[in-house]
Parts: sequence; C-alpha cells; structure tokens
Amino acid sequence: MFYLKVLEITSLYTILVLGVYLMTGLTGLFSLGQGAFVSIGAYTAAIAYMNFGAPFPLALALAVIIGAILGFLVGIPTLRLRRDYFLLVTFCLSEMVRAALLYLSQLTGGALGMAGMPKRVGLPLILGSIVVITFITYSLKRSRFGRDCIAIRDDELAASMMGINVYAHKIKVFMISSAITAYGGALYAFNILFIEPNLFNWLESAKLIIITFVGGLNSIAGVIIASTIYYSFGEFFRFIDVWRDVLLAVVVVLVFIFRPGGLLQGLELLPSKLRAMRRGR
Amino acid sequence: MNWNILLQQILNGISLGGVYALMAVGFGLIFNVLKFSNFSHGGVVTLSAYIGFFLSQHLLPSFLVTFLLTAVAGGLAAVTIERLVFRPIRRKGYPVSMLIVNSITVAMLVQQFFAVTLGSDYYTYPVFIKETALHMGNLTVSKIYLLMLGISAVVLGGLSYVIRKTKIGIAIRAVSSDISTPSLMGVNVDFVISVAFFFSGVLGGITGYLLGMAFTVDPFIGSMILKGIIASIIGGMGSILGGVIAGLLLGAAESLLIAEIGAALTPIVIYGAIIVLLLIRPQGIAGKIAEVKA
Amino acid sequence: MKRTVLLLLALALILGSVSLISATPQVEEAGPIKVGMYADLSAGTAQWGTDAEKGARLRIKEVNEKGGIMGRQVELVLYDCKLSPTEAVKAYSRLATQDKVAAVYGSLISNSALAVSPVAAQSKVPVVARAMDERATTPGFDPDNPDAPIDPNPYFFLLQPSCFQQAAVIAGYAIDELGMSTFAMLYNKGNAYAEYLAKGFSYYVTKRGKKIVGTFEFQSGDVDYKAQLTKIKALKADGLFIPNYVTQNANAVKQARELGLTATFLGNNSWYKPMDEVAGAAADGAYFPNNIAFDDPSIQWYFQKYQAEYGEEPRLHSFSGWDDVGFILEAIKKAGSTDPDKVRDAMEGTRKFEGIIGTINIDPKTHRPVGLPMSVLYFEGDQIGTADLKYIPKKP
Repeated sequence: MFYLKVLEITSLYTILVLGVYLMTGLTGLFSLGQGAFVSIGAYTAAIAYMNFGAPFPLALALAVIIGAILGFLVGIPTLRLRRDYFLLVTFCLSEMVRAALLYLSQLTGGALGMAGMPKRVGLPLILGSIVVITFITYSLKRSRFGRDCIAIRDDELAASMMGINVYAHKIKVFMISSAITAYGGALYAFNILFIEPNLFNWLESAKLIIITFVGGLNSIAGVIIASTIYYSFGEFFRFIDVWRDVLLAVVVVLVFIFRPGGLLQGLELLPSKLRAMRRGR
Repeated sequence: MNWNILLQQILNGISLGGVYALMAVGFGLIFNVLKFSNFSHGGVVTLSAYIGFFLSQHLLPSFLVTFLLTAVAGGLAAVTIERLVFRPIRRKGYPVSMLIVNSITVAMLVQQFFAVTLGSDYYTYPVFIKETALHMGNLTVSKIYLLMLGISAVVLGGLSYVIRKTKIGIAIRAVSSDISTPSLMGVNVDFVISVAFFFSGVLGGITGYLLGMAFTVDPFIGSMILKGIIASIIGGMGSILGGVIAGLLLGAAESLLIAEIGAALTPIVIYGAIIVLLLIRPQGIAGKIAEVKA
Repeated sequence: MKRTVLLLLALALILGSVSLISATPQVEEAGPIKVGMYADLSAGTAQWGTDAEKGARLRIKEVNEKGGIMGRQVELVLYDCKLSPTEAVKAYSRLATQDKVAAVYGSLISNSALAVSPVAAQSKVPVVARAMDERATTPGFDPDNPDAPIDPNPYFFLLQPSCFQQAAVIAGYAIDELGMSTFAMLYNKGNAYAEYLAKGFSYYVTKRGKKIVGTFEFQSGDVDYKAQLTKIKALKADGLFIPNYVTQNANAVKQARELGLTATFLGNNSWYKPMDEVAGAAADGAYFPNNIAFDDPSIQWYFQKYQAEYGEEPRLHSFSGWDDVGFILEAIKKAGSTDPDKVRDAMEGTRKFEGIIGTINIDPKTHRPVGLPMSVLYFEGDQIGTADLKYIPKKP
C-alpha cells in the first residue's frame, strides 16, 4: 500500500522532469523558473476546483492551457536572451510567482497553502500520463522537430544558418514544456492534496535540470530512471535520506567527469534496441 | 515624508546595497572574466562563514587574523572546486552550460552538507565590534555594512589595476576572450584560470566572514547571494563596476520599497523590474554585448 | 554497461517485492509499541527538532527501563520533515499508513501542523504537537472572533497555550506590569505561528483599550529589517512585539539597537535560549512569555536528568519531547491498547496529567489545555531571568 504511494510521488516528479527534459535536455534552455509553472498549474487547478466549483477534468485542462499560455507570454520577450540571462530571468519569475501567491492570500490561502482537495489523481492517471508524455516526447525527439531542438542545443548559430527559425522554435518548445510542467503541478495538487507557495523553489527547479543531465541529454529512458531513483531513494534508504541531496550532488559531479553522456549514454530502452543488445552479447 | 526618515531609509538601502555589491564583486570576477555564471560562489561564501566562525571561536579570537585566514581559505576552496569540478569539464570541451549546471550542483552540495551536519546549532561570531552602529548626527549606519561597502570599493579599484596593468591580469583578459590562443603564446591557461578563481574565492571568503558577523551563520547564507548574483548580472557583462552599482541600487530600491509598500509586494516589484531591465537592456547597466558564450 | 541497466532494474524489482511482502498488520498485539514522530531535523529550526527528539527519547528510555507499557517496550519511529509542510504531510502519512503507529508526536511548526491537521482527521491516527496556531486543533477558528466556540479536529491535540493565549500573556504583562499603552509589531507574514501571535497580541491590546500604532511584516528569507525598523522608530511606541524564530528575532533586535530604537522588546517563547547567545546584549530589557522558568526549583530534576544523559542543558523543546511523548504513552496505557481510535479517546479524556510545563487538563471542546499558566522571563544584559513564575493575564 505504502509503496504504491512512493510510486505515485516518484512518478509525479518524473512528469516534471520530462517537462524539463524537452526544453533543457533536447533544446538546451536552462530555466530556474519551472517551479513557477508547477505552482501555477497546481494553484490553477486547485482554485478552479475549490473556489469556482469547476469539474475536475476542466480544472486539469485549465492548468494545462494556462501553463501553455503563460509559457508563450513569458517566452516571447525572454527567449531572445542568452543562456545565463534566461536562467536569471526565469529565476526572477519564480520568485515573483512565489511572492504573488503569498500575497494573494484571499485567493490562494497565502502562506498556509490550500488543502482539502479530494484525491482524484491516482496511480493509473499518473502512470498513464507518463506513458503519454513519454510517447509525445519521444516522437518529438525523433522527428524533424526534435532534430531541430538538438541542433539548437548544440550550436545556435549553425542552426540558424541551416534555416531553422531558432526563436520561434524555442517558443514552441517552451510552451510545450510549460504545459507539461503545469499539468504535473495540477496532478500534484490532487494527489498530495496540499500545496503551498514554497512548493517548488529555485533549488527544486535546479534539481530537475540536474537529474536531466544525470539521465543523459539524449536519453529519455535515462532521465526516467535517474528521476525514479532519486525521488524514491529517500523512502528506501531512510537512514541516510538526510544526505540525499549531498549524494545527488556528488553523483552528478562524478557523472559529469566520467560519464558525461549521462547514465545511459544516450541509449533508449526500446524493444528493438534491447533485442539488439541481447544478440550483441 | 519626513526628510530625516527618508535619508535614513536611503542610507539603510545603500548600506544593504554594500552587502550585495560585495557579493557581486566576488561573483563578477568569474562572470566577467571567464564568462560563465559560477553559482558555486554561494557555496564558497557559506563554507567561509563556517570556517570563519570556527577559527574565531576555537582558534584565536582575533578579528584580523581570522578574517585573513578565512579569506585565504575561501580562495583555496574556490581553486579546489575549479580543479575538481570545472577543469575536467572544461578540458573535455563541453559547452558552458555544463559548467553552470555543475556550479549549481556544488552550491547545493555545500548548502545541504551544512544543513545536515551543522544545521541544528546556532553559530554567532564573537563580538569583535562592541558598538556596531556609526552615528552621524541623526542618522545611523551599521559599521559592518560599511566595511562591506568599503571593501567592495577597494577591491574594485585593485582589480581594475591588476587586470589592466599586471601581467597576470593581462593573461586573465586574454584567456577570457579566447581560451586557446593564449596557450599558443606561452600562457599557462590552467594556471591563469586558477588564479582568477583564487581571487574570486578570496572575495567569497571575505563575504562569508562579514555576513556571518552581521547576521548568523546558517547553511542558507548562500541563497542570499542570489541577490548579489542578480546585481552582478544586471550590472552588465564585462563590468565589475556595473555589478557594484547595481548592488547599491538594488539595496536602495529594496529598502525604499519595503518602507513604502511593505515586504509582501516588494519582491514582485523588484523582480518584475529586473526582468524588464534585462529585456530592454540585456547588456545591463554598464556592459557591452558579448557574443553568445553560454 | 547495458547489463548494468538491467541489473539496476532487477534490483529495483527485488526491493519492491521484498517491501511489499513485509507489510505490517493493522494493530499489533505483541512486539514493541510504536510511537511515531516527525520533526524538523534539518533546515532553519533544526535545533528545536533535535531537542524535541532528545526529550522524546529520554522519556521513552525511562519508560522502557521501568518495563515499558503493558509489558511491551516502546519504540520511536522518527522522520525528518525538513521545515517543509509537504514533507510533514508525507511523513505523517507514512507513519499512519505504513508504520501503523499508535499515535504521532508532531512537529511544533504551525505551518506543518496546519497541513497535517486535515490529513490526520482522515487517517484517524491522533497527533500531539506544540504547534500553537489555533487552526491546527480547531480548524474553523476565526481570529476576529476568537472566543466563539468551534468544533475541534478530533485527531489533533496541543499541549501548551495557543497563539492567542500566549500573546495575551505578554500583552497583559506589558499593559499591567510594565504600564505600556502603545505598541508596534514586526513579524513574518509567511509563518502562521508568528502571524497568529501578532493577531492575538493586537486583539488583546485593542480589547484592553490600548493602541497598536504600527504593524510591519517581512518575508521568510529576509535578514535585514532596517526599513521597517526605521519606520517603527519614528512611531515612538512603548513596546515592540517581535514574535518570530530565533535568528529573525535576534537580527531584528540587533538592528533595532543599531538604529537607536528605545522601545521595550516583547517576545514570544522563541526568545528562550539560545536567544541569549545569538542576540547577546542587544536583547537587554526584553520580556517574553515562556512555558518554563529555568530557575524554577520544581523542575530542576529534569535539568539534572537531561544533563546526565546528553551533557548539555535542556532547551525549551527538550521539555516538549518529554511531556508530549509522556502524554501519548499515558493515553496508550489508559486505553489499554495501541488502537489509534482508543488512544485518541483516552487523550481527549486526559485530566491532571503532570507535565513539566504544568498540570495538563485537556479541554475536549478545543483539544488544548485549560488554565495552564506561563512564566514571564526577561533579559538583563545577555542573561535571562524570571520576572514572574506563573502569570495569568487579566481578561480583556
């Protein structure tokens, strides 16, 4: 019973990691502000349901839509900036959202957060979502769209000279990522049943990026595995759970130095590839 | 509004800005010279705050000695990080984004390490300065904040000189604009980069020590540095002076806003303004547009 | 490499199955009695969490040495909730559903208690915590109408006076014993404990016909309050109420002194040690309410016991650990069972439980103790002294 709960929580976070994977792993956009989208998705869904009586599916859909719209609005002015400026601007954004959530306490409950959401999100929905999102991400990655992403990540100048509209492409990616992240936030609200403005600060957003790197920039499977290990770690190794983040940091640095392709070096765990593996040995 | 109060608030703001400016200078050295955002600076600051505390509490309660020792310790810490983490990545020719991610990782490592090991105790520096306030007529300002501001100014001047006039400074500048050519001309690139990190770490050590003195030592002091990093970046790439000015302005704006609209709305306004500033003028207050390195 | 991946997956599968197999039954009739605890062992208030843990373990050790409860030894199941309400909720859920504890000793942080409170009502494993915000025990509490009767959360208990009650202690003392009439407040709006203390303070002061001349907030991460303090100085209030956590109170006090503020500082029970070390002489002249007075001769036995075990003096929450776990164990004994519902009923009916902080009679209507006096302590230089051992404020 309890381990199902662990799987639920781990999978929720994995959805968030997948959202970040699309923009950071594939396209090289670094954002310290994805936490803002988690919160926005969570609060949108929660407020729509609790304060305005919207039916649950509508609340979820609203979260996704608002996530995408905000991704668009935020992306338009900021995606022209160079990487570390974009990183900084997204950080400022996440702080703004946090302060706004604290301030609008009439609507959001302020520092005490919102509670009382019914548990409408269970393992089937979460796992189903992961499957769908993984499928979408994988298809994107293999398509022209994904190749353009990778081109942008590796060398923006060259990519634009190849005819890719870098700016427009980045906006599309950011919108999709933000929508996924907001969706994850909405699922969180109706699974953990408690949300507060400090839910996802810049450090948590940074961890999403770090896990993406550990999993490997070219490997969705690697990212999923890395995310699963990290977020379920504490439940299995309780006595050293306090050291979890220190261990993550050490592992990450080691991976970077010795295994910079990530855990799986760009492998994808596909049936065809697994068959090839067996034949190869 | 009462002029006296307004003046005091401005003074509060500028002196707080001195804290940010000091953080900006330490961060800015690497940012401006090596063109990457070294978030591990926050980790160096935190580490130094603890080192400074233990030195002054258990070794020798002398301000000057422990202060200098901590500064050196900060420098060594930064060099160690550079050697262990950044150099291998740099050597393999990876994009700068990898460096940024790892710098964040190091910052997280330091913060969480201290949170787990020493987080449950309150550490206060011994009282070196009995009267921490400086009174100028009706106005007061904290001596420690002034010290931070003063050091920022001195470092600024000193760094400008070093970077422009000394051999090592010229070498640093050469390395910052092109990492391969200087080695062809006989410059030991690794050594130069280590020197830059050492300087930055010394500044981090000073920052950590003074922050520990002004407030208390806790693992999250490094997060405060984010404001300093913001100041450095809005100050503009290529200009440490810009970072200092931005730090002062940030402090002043924050204080005045808190006094006027309260602490709840202030972050919204400040961060919003920063975003707008970066959008309108991405080169910051004083910077030049540099090519996309990161 | 590819083999490693498969190995990892296999490992995960094995771990998963092992844990599923070792699932525990609902109420155990034999084996150790499990008492759950979640506390903040890392992050900003880690010292309080570890103090509470030490007190708790000391109590359990003593009980176990005397043969345990109902012939069974007592075991503490502890999780770190890292000053995060989300982690607190996860920890409580785990204790209630996985570890199947008889009762939970919860974190004293009000924000976390408010998150856990509704979950406790659903999971039906009782929680005892020192969280002072009224809404943890009585969720419908209205700060503008604090005396209106409301239903308690059946599964949450508080073992000390609540925010409004503690604020009344210090406000009453300031008005009647120190003769003050005008007050300003500086508090962390993001902290439910600080906010409700401020609300309680303001309510009492206003009801007594005195004035709150200014209310100032700051954000959770802020360390510099000079902007707010400069305005407070201009208001020339008699008293400045600063009811936050240790480092925030200390920073506020040091900066206030720097600015030349002459108002008397009034605090909350977070002003107890180690505030004397952290704030030092800047806290001189401050008054604050506290659950115990450390020079109270009737509690010295605990100081000695704690000192003998841990080699240091007990701080405030070390007392909490001892009392609250004792309360839980007493309830289990009275119920004669580890069934959480029976334990809960026993808790609600607890009268005359002798804790270090006083005799605890649980009011079944609020799940808080009734008629529990507090001490008022003060700072002289950087030393803490007792102003009044048992102070009960005048009713407004």
